[in-house]
Amino acid sequence: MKGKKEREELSKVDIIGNAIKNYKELYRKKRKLRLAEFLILVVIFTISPFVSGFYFLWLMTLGIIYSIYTLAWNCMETMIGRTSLGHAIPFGLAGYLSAILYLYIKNPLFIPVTWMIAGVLSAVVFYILSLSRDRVAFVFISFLIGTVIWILSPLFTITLNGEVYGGEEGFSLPSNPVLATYTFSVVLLLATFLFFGFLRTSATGLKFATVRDDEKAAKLVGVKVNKVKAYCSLISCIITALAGGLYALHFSHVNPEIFSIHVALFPFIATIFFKNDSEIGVVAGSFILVFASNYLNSIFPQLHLLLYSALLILSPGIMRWRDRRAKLMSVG
Amino acid sequence: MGIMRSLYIAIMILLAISIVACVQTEKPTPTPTPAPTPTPQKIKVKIGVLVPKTGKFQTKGVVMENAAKLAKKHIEEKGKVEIELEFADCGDSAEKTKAAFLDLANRGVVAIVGAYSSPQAIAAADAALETKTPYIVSVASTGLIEKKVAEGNSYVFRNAYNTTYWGKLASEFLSLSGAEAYYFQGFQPLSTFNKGMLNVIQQNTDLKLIDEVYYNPSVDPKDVQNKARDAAQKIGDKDVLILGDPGSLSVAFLKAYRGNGGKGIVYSVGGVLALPQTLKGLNSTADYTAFQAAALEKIASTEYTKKYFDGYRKEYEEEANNYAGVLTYDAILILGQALEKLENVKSGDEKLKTSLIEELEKGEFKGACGIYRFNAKHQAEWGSEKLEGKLAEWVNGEALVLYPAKFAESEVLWP
Amino acid sequence: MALNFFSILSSTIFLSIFAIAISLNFRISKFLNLSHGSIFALGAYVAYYTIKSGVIPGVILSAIFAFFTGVVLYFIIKKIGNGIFEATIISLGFAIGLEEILRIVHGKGYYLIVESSLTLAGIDFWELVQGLMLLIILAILFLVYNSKFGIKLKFVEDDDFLARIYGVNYEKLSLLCIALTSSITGLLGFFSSTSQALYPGIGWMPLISGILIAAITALFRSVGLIHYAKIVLIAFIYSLFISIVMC
Repeated sequence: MKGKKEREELSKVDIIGNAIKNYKELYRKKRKLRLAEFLILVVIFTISPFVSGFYFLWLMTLGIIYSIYTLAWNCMETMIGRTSLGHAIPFGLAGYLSAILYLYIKNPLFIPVTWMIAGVLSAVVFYILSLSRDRVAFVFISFLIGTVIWILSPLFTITLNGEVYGGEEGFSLPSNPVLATYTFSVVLLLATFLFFGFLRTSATGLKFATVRDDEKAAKLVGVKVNKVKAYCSLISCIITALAGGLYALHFSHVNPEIFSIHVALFPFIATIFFKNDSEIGVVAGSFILVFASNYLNSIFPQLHLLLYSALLILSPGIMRWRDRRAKLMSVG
Repeated sequence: MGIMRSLYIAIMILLAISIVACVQTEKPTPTPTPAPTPTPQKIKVKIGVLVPKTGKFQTKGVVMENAAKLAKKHIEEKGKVEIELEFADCGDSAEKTKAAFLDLANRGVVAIVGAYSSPQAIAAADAALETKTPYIVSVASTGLIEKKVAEGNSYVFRNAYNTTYWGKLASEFLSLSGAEAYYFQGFQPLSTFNKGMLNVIQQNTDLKLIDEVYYNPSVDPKDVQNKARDAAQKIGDKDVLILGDPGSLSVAFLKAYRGNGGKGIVYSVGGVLALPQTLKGLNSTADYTAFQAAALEKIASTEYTKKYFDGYRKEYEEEANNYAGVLTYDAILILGQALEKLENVKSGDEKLKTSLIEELEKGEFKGACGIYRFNAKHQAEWGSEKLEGKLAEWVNGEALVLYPAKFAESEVLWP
Repeated sequence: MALNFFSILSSTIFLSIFAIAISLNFRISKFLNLSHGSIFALGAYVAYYTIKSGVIPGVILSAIFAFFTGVVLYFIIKKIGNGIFEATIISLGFAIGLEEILRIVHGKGYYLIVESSLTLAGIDFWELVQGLMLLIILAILFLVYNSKFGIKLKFVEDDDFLARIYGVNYEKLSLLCIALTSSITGLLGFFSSTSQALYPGIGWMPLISGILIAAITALFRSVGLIHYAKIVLIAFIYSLFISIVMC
């Protein structure tokens, strides 16, 4: 007959074992869900070019680019708990570096290299900022740096062969068919979607989440917090830079407005309506914002910004309502 | 439960996108051609106008929209063309401009005019090529527009000045004034435009450049006033200060400059400091401020000049704008006249846009500013006998015409 | 390279006032109030409509409008916001909304100009008024921080949660702070209106500069009046630096 203590030990092991089994089961289900969402997106994006006109395809491409941007921004928010109001930096820097390179070397093949450089440079800045445990300071400092770059970017000019480029006019890029940009953007979005979807349900994703929840506790259980911050900053900034590069190609031009506060705030507003840990919600939010913004702009131009302002004011309330609803649905 | 929620969200997205797509891809049915009658056929077209209704250029958007509506009225008086204007807000960014352009093209417009800043015009020019829609740049001066035409974009035209002409007008003023030297006060956020203009001035004049300074209120909100104070100390009685800022900060600069005893003449590139309303509001501060304008009420370049100024005043109870507004007015007139000249082309015809471009390339068109012809780079030939910029000087509450010589009322007056 | 001392002084005064308003708001109401730029513009618009009828009524009206705008913002934040980040975002939305309302109401084809050319001993009257305004603000801060009330303020600056436990009426203090700092920026807008053409976005650049000055000063982690004195010093160094760089 087993002693009381032994029985207690065994039951503890059972509880832990069951818990692990349940978590594994939960994450398996989540992965299946992600896959289903991924397939839905594949279908939507495959059909779209065949059922739409030029304008709609152009808007879809813009929506896709902003979705990639928002997914990358969301990574820092949900994985290491850092809300950035300066993500226009990698976004815009990629566009600028690629345009400047094209000015000197008229070969578009080298352009993706500049995007990676922009991503890495920005990642260094965000990593340094994230080293402080003060998350509020991160928000404000990223906002300040982004704003300063926005203010200073019109001052940047290049004189080549007696001609002045840049400044308020910005730089040009090679023009390309919208279908090409659409295709590249779709591929990147799907890859990013899968990547974050599976990262979130992996052991690495769990480590990231512990850093978000409590850095001190994460350190105590052996998570290399600074390494996690470095990886997260790198992933987020590189993907944002890729989105920024595609954005510049989409317009065949880049100017200081790419660093504007509206670009910086976009991911924050796009993630108001849907829970942050749902990639499909992030994509949906981005599309809703792009389409609603353009549609409203054409019918209510004066009121469109008032609506934007109302959204910002109500955003905390909306997010709390969203979280309450998500909790109810998960309990149900 | 989770799968259902995701499916629900995905279907919502699809539905929302489909609704918008259906609305957006809706193409207007071509206007049925009227049955042959003895009277000439009236061509009915839609013309798109990009105006900044929101953002930092909103003030200009008001005058551009008003001017466009006035142009429509004046074209339709002839009875040959019926125009339906479609307005879209281009805001203050290239992104908004491109979306607005594509929206207009989607609504079935035959041509588009407008946009304000250079980045906006560049985005619109690209959209013009992508949608094969003729586009007339009515304000922006960037040289990239002509470059795009040279690279094969035959859809974009410009009836506004390019940067080179801005510089030539300033040089002309320096020559007329008999100044001893000049001081260039630029606006940092427009440094590309300012530097381009200054290059042309330096090529066209031997006068001494006292200094080249730029103000930027983004780094110091008082920078405009501080630079004005500095300039007041450097400029002599017979010097000209060229103020390269067409925006509202030029008012702050002028006030601070004169308030600190600034001497000589201030030559403004125009914009805010070329508007009678603004100059009157500044009282004696505005005295000895010279400026350029695309059209002046006193110079009847064509019959449309008086029509524009009088019509605007009557319709909108304020003074007409003499750059962004009048050029948008002229852009619509140009399109209207080009459409009138087209033969055997019906509304909704696929060849209409191509024929329109051909007509714009070879024809002559009357506007309030003068008679337009476009050169090989689709740039209006400013500086020709029939189309010239105007120079005036504000003295004692009145604008005295200085140039063109045949309309000059006075020589340049020094304080 | 000649530095214009008066220009540096003028910039210092302007930036100090703006930065003090932002800093007071942050340290006491515990959020970054991004609506100060739009309230600055509001004050300038009040000047346009009132200055010809009389300066003093215009000043009082500007202060009252700005005060009540601050009160409205406080109640919105209290109702919806929770925490520094949410309050900051709400203030940004409020700023954009206020700017759009000004744009819709005043949408004209020309810029509004407030014409009032008064000088005193060769100096623009309104520059002198701004200088006086800064001195008054510093004097009030000196008196407040050296009083019993000042101890409560320092307590709140240090730890508002603990201050609440010890009986400080934090809500009232926060409301007063937001409303009064809004009045300060509204008045500053009124006094600056004669030096520029008006449009709804005139407050954004001063806001950014003010935030920069306040942020740099915050790095020194001073408390009480010393913090605000450092704001003036940092504003001076900033103006000097900009003058040298821009020369």
